[in-house]
Amino acid sequence: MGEIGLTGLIGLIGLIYFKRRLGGKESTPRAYITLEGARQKGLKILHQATKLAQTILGQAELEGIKVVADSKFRTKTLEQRFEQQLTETAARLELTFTQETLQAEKEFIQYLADLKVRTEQTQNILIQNLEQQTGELLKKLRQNLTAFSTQTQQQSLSLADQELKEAKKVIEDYKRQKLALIDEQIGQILEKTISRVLSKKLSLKDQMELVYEALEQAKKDQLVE
Amino acid sequence: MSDELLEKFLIDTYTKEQALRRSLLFKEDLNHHFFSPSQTITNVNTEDQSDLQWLKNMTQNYNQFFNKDNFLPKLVKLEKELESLIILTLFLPFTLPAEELSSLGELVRKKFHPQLLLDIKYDPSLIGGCALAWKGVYKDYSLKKKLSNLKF
Repeated sequence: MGEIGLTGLIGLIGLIYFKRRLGGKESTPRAYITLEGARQKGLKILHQATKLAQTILGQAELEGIKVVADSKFRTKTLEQRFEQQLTETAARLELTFTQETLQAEKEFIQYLADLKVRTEQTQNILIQNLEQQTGELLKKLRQNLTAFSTQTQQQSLSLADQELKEAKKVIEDYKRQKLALIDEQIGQILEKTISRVLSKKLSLKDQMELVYEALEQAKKDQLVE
Repeated sequence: MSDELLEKFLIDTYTKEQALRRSLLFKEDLNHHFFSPSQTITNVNTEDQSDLQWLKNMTQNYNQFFNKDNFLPKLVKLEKELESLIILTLFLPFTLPAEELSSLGELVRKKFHPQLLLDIKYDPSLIGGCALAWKGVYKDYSLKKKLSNLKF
């Protein structure tokens, strides 16, 4: 198609050239005949090229239509095949899925049953352990309580004993203090009584004798030096 | 001379109170003697007979020790000497009569010092005997002390 077009174009260009050359100058009859011949040839060629091109176009159209029809047919065939394949695959998958699901369900049920058995076993073991530990704890608790009670009893007795001793000591101290206070008070009373009696009963002579004795004692003690 | 005067002064003067009183009487009498001879010692202001007797004894020595010019300085000196005398404080539970004072004074001067003066104070709580204070040291020899030492 391309070659035909090119040929046609060249011919047309040539024609125009010669026409312009002939038109611009004073053309001779020989040249005019030659040009006319060339023009006729050119027209022929063009006509042939056009025809050829049309033929080719027709063929191309036909080919194109053929190809389109063919491709449509193939497409349709492919679609059908694809659909069929898809259906088959879906059916296969569904079947497989159903089988797998059933299998999984069976296994799961089995697993649950096993789990139940194991759980019961574990529960029994745990209960046994718990009972054992509880027993041991109770035993320890009993022992500790006994020990604590004994210790507390001893401590209480010891505290009571200590408090009793302290109370006795306090009482003894108090008694001693009171007796000392009483002694002191008696001494003071006696002193006062004696002083009152003596100060009334002592004569001047007695007093002077006592003073001289005191001075004698002071001399011995070397108080005055 | 000064010692002799002091000795004479201290005859029958045993207490600090007596010494002070007699020092004032002595001064008064000397003034009268030299400046108002017409006045006698009976005009001196005292009621104590022992003071009067003492003063009478002192006047016998006036011409021996004093004249108009020297009596004042000598009096001042005598006063200073009296102040420097040692003093024994005596705490008694009774009021000492004058007649006993001389015996006590003499006894104390014989035992301790010939120019010692007594400062007698009254403390009835002592009951009997006495307590002494010498240079700030107090010592109790009374009956009260003895009784408290008995520890009834």
